[in-house]
Amino acid sequence: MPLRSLAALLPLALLSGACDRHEAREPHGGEPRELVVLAAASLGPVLFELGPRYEAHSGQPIRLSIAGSQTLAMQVREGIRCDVIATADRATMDSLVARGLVATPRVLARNRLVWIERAGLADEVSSAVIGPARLSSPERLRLVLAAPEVPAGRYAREALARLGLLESAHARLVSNELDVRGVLAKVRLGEADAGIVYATDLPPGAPGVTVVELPARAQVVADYPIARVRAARSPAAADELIAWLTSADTRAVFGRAGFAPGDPAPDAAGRGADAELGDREP
Amino acid sequence: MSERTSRVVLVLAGLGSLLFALPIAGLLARAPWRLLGEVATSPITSTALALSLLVSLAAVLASIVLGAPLAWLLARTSTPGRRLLRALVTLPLVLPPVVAGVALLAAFGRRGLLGGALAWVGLELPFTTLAAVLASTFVAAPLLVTTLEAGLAQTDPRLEQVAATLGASRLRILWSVLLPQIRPALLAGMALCWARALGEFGATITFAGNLRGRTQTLPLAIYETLQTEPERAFLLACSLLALSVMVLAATWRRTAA
Repeated sequence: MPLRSLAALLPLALLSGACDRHEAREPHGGEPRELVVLAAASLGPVLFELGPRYEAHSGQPIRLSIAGSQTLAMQVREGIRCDVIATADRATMDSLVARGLVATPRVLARNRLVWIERAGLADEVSSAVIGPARLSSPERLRLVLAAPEVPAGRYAREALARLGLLESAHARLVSNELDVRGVLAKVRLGEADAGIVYATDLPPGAPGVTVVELPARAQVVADYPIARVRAARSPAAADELIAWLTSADTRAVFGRAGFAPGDPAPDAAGRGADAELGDREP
Repeated sequence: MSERTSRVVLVLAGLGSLLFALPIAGLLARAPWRLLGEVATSPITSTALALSLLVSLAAVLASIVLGAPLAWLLARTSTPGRRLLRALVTLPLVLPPVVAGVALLAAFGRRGLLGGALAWVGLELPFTTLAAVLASTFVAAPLLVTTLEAGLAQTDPRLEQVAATLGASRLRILWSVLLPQIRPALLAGMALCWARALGEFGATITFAGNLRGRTQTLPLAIYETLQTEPERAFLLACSLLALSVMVLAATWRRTAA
């Protein structure tokens, strides 16, 4: 029986493949084609809020795919079908620019790092210091960071180096998490004592963790560049989305999530040019 | 079987083999073989490889010690709740590995069910090599248990009874009567268990974390390398593939013999 029901599914699967191809051949059908947006994990919540708003605003359907920046970059390198990519650092985006895979990026938003420690840690240890200063005290500390290959991990190490604490951090490191969410999860669950994450990773009043701001001299500003993928199937729609996301319309949502605004959007100029082109068309 | 059905079967079987063969062919084609020497001798590879061997072998050992008695219980006795027990043992096979990792944290983490008791005896599992072994055992042992149970079900308990009436000790019966009969199943179970333990990723990253030399097994090293040097990751993946094939091939020949 199960075999037979599986067999029944097969033609369905083939059919859906056929539909997909059909759609590819006729890009100017009635419905506008779905715009595929690859975005870094930390941008997820904001974009999930803004996505439906943009769909309502422009009638352009959007599909979000959220993953670590490196994974996204790899997907673009492997030629996955997508239109827009937003990463959590410049280096990852620059590697795509260098390969000619994306158009000139624009800074979508900026983020900052914070030190987090599990709730209750302060009561258990004797030392009076909190925050990264714990790293220079003899107390035992289980530190988790994002892996050095991940933007959040690279920034965290840079911040610790500026504080002269990198070596003692390495001595207390128990895990290189594969993305910044892993760091937060392990501290929130109380399995690790402390970690460094983006300010935006913490929902307001997140339970289970105490947030400590890093000293200004250690603060590394994380830029989130966004760019159109050169192989985009709807380049104009992709540019419009990027212009909207970097416009003043979305600033409040980014701000509420803890992001600082990115580059002042040259949206007026960009839109003007688009409109001009549009006017010239018969 | 009619001519037409057999052709359908052939076509589907052909598609099926392509599904398995193509990703492997892709991996082999994409790997930068000129870097082989460099990658093979790099510290990240050797450390991860050594740790992977240690962790997976320890997991196989633990699976035999804890799993063989379970298989025997399931195959030979009519213990009440046997079906429930069998379902429980097979559960890790269908559980997504990350869920397995979360479950392990819930049981053996610092805040887990046994966290307090473990801390009392001075044991803290998360982020340790032992945690990686536990994660691998949890996901891989069911393969050994189910294979061994199937093997045991085909043996005849009367042979052991005869041996007992002839005065053989329990150990002697196990070694000279039971073991020769279940050898193929035991070896196949060990091979599957080892291969699965070698490839463990999700439960390990969740429960044991990722630290070179302590919990970074080969699959974790592959994933981390994929982030920065994807070409090298292909090569590392090939090495894991070769290792798994060797494990399976070695035992396949023995079980077939």
